[in-house]
Amino acid sequence: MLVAMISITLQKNDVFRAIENPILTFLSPIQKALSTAGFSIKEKIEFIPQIFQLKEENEALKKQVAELQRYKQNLLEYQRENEDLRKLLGLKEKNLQFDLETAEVIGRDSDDWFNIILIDKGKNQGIDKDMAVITNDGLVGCIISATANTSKVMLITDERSAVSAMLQRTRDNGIVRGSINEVQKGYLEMDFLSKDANIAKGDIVISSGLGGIIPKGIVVGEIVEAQKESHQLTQYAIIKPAADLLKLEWVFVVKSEKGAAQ
Amino acid sequence: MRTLVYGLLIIVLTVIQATFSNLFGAYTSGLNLPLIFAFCLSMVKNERSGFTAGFISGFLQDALFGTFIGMNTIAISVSAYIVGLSSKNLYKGRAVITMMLVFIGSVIFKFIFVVIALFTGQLTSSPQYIMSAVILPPFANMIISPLIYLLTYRIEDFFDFYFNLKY
Repeated sequence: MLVAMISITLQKNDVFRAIENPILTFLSPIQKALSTAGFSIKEKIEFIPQIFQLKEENEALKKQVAELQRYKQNLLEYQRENEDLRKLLGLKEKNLQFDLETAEVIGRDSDDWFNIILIDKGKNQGIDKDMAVITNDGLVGCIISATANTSKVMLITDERSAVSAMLQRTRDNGIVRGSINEVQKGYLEMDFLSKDANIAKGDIVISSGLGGIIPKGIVVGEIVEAQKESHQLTQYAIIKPAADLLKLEWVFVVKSEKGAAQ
Repeated sequence: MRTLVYGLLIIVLTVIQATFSNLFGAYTSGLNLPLIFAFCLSMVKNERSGFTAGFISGFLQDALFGTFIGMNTIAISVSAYIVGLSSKNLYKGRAVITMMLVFIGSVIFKFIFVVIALFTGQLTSSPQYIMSAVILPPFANMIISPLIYLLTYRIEDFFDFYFNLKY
């Protein structure tokens, strides 16, 4: 009976949905309430030791603001220059903007390999399967199923996840996968990098948009190590995810990509 | 009454587990409260009760976080049944026995889980990585197990006292 259950729900997705939907609908409000209460308690506890660091941090931030003001001026200058050059070249600027939906993380799978989180938004808010999920820092994962008011997100650290990505500096392409290797736990592996690819520690990895699910240009992480495969035909790299996937509280679901022409 | 309370307890443990994994992700890695509860029920009552509790909690975990029903359902219920059977003639008063049984049960659970995951194509990593992950997480379950055992024992005791004893 148990084997038949696996076989039926694995092959017929709608049967699994029919089981999954009522359970998620029933448990998600409880989960959300508990999660909200838990986060507010956690925040208060974490705030106590932070008080002592605040003065130092304030000074450092003031310096940073001054520096950023200078950068901002430079950037405005570059932007103007860029626009002029584009006009000269006759290029059409593609200003990608994402239609984002904010969602709260209300639950997480405790398993080491299958990293799934539950968010409090679903089909009623326009969220559906295969939409990318991001934070301010970078890529989180993608939606694998959605009910009326909840969705399951498979994190990029999940063993089953594979994202087409490229190195921002050299444009070398590869596939970013989750790893269950204990040594690299929480890190990602980038495979199929060309053997001639110039990879340096600290290189930023962005999504290439080739898979069709994750839009192009979202930061995935940063290279911490690169090595040649044993067969010497390709290289692989270890990546530290840009988003802190262990401390997810709020995420954004990329509902669609709007291409605004200039 | 007993069934209702245990059913509710499984739901509560599943929800707490999902929330705590999210709040303290790095520190709760591998900890599985409903699994430990199914093991403890197997030890305190019998293997059939453990199997049923494992079935319900596995079913809930599959529905909440899985992509199909069966992986956790089978792995938890079967491992709880094995723990119940193997502890039948053991004196379980000492915490160390509970911890040892929960550790062994968690390893069996992970092993069954891996077999199903490989069989259904959910896992593709090389075996050495898989084996390291099979051994390490049960330690977390082992440490917390005496508390859950005590909770299960107290609940059983309460039900026996108020519902089963005939004067």
